[in-house]
Amino acid sequence: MISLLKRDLLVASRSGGALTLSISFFLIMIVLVPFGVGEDPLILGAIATGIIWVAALLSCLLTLDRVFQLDFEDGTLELLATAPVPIEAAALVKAFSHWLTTGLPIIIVSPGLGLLLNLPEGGMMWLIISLTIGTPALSIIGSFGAALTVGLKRGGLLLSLLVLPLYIPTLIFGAAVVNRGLLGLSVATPLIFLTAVSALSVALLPLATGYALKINLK
Amino acid sequence: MSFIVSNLSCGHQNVALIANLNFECLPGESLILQGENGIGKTTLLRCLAGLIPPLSGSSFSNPDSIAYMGHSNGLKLQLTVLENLHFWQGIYHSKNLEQTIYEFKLQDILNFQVMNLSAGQRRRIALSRLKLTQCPLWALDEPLTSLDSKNVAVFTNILQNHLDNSGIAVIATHVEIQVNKKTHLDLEFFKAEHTNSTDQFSEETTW
Repeated sequence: MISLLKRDLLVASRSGGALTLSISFFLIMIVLVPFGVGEDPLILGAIATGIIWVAALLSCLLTLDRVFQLDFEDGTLELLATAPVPIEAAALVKAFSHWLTTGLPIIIVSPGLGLLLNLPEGGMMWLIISLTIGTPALSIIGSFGAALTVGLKRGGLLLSLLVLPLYIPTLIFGAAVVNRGLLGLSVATPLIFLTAVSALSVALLPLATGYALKINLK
Repeated sequence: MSFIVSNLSCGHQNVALIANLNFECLPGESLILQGENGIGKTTLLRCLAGLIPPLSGSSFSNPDSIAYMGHSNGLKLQLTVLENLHFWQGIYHSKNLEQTIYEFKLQDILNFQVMNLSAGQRRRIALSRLKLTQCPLWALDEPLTSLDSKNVAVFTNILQNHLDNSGIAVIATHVEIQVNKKTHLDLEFFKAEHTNSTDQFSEETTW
């Protein structure tokens, strides 16, 4: 399994763009917002959380079709399915490597972008915490969608339609953590729900992903 | 351990291609699948490898003991040959990497990216994965595609070696493979009858 993770990261680093695509998209999106909304720091500060979370969702979506599609096309996926490793575990590992190449960089640059959008200081910590807990769910849910559409040529659009609605709980609770934190309210409830969504996704969705892959490999 | 298939029917969705197939392979034996294009050789091999569930019947084998090799090579073009082999070595916990590289004569291209290699060279690397799996049963779909005569000989040797070590091979091929103890199986005799679908078709045309 570790060799699968190592290989995925190696492939990502070799195929230029795979590693930088989502993070560049994330940066550009955030940088563009002040141009559209105007430079009023109060307005920017008020919408910063929502913008960063939505941008994180979309940039996560951008590289989802690569999770299984490339392995499906070159035949690796079917060889992996016949190998003595559970396909569910392989799915989990691939979701993890997707998170390492998209979610993790987003978490790392988010404080800087928070500053850019004039996110009040009190929200910064909650932004990092909510992204850290929430982005793994984005990768796991996304890879489930990717497994469903893996056999389709140009399934990217369908993938977005499938996956984005499933992101709603993560988005609501993730943004709620930051917004309540900003107001100095207790963040316990949204934080617990956010963690629950992530934990449930990690625990259950790899099984569904594995099953979807098996069906698409038939 | 012999490989027994009894009353196996397989196909796509609910359309059977092959029906009531029976055979038994003892260790050291190879089975050459023959039949025209579209008769179901690939489907049968994928079924044996556990990728497609059988429509009925059973193939007795532990799925983990089968090494499947399909039309596609399953190589990552961006990685070097060695990195590709390391990946499969990690998946199968194989201990025979050095020997595999030596037997398939991959020493000279180990550090080349696969995207810079020819189709025949890629096939050779894909075949070397079989050796890394250390599985007793090989299910091969047109293994000799793109190989030149010299490499066909190299692979035949390795296959013979595998069989001599009580291995089993089920091979779909149009090219003659020179190994001892091979049985030919013509799938023409196990073709599924398509009475239902033809009836439906004639009904539709008359209507």
